Amino acid sequence: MLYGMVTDVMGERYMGFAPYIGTLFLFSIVGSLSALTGMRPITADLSVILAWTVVTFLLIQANNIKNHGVFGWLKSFTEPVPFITPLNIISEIANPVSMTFRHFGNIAAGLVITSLVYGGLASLSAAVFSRIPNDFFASIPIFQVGLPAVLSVYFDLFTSFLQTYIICMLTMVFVQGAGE
Amino acid sequence: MERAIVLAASAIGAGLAMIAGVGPGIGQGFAAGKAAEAVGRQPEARGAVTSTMLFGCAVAESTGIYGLVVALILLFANPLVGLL
Repeated sequence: MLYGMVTDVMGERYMGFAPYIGTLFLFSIVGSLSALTGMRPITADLSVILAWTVVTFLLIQANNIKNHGVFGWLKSFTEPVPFITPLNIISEIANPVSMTFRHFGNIAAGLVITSLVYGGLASLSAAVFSRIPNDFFASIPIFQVGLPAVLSVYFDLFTSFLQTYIICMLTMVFVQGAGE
Repeated sequence: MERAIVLAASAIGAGLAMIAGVGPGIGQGFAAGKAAEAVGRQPEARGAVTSTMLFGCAVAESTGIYGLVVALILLFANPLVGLL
């Protein structure tokens, strides 16, 4: 399946990238889905995703140099006019930064919203059940049953799969585009 | 006192930064509407249309995510308090 996907997007020439894409896919999906066990997902940490996108950035530049030569690579920054070189360099650097923030932001937003809802439901049930004289029953945040599961399906399952797909797809598209 | 002003201004700034969520909302709604049109016209291309739409939506989302990151930095890792 993975090899088919890489062939579809990048073509036969770049089959060597399939193991890297597969590693990225598994790392990202397991890292994001670890939120389902109640832990903080590892992809909610900026440095994890920054590491992947820096590797992607290096792959893009290496692939560009491999296909165009060092001078062709340097020359590609001065196109279409030499005047625009700083903008080209900034846009190259903005690529991995935007990929990092996209994945990190989605997972971190889910984490923040889920923990806000958990906190809100806990204080709601504390406010409602504080009249019960029995301390043990009053301390159970009963409203936390149910509603967070619906949010978890969207933020943990759907967003995890979507962001994993996106980061693999963008890596493939950018690396392949650098070789054109 | 200064600290309180900086914290209050950071909270307001975080709220203002999330106005950036309006743009991606409009854009993604537009993309989803067009995708629904495309599926209506060609129901057999449903899978390809859906994956293309999700890809485009996720890419269009990045400007909103920048706003979110700014808001998160202002709330949880505020660099301005350290300047006092």
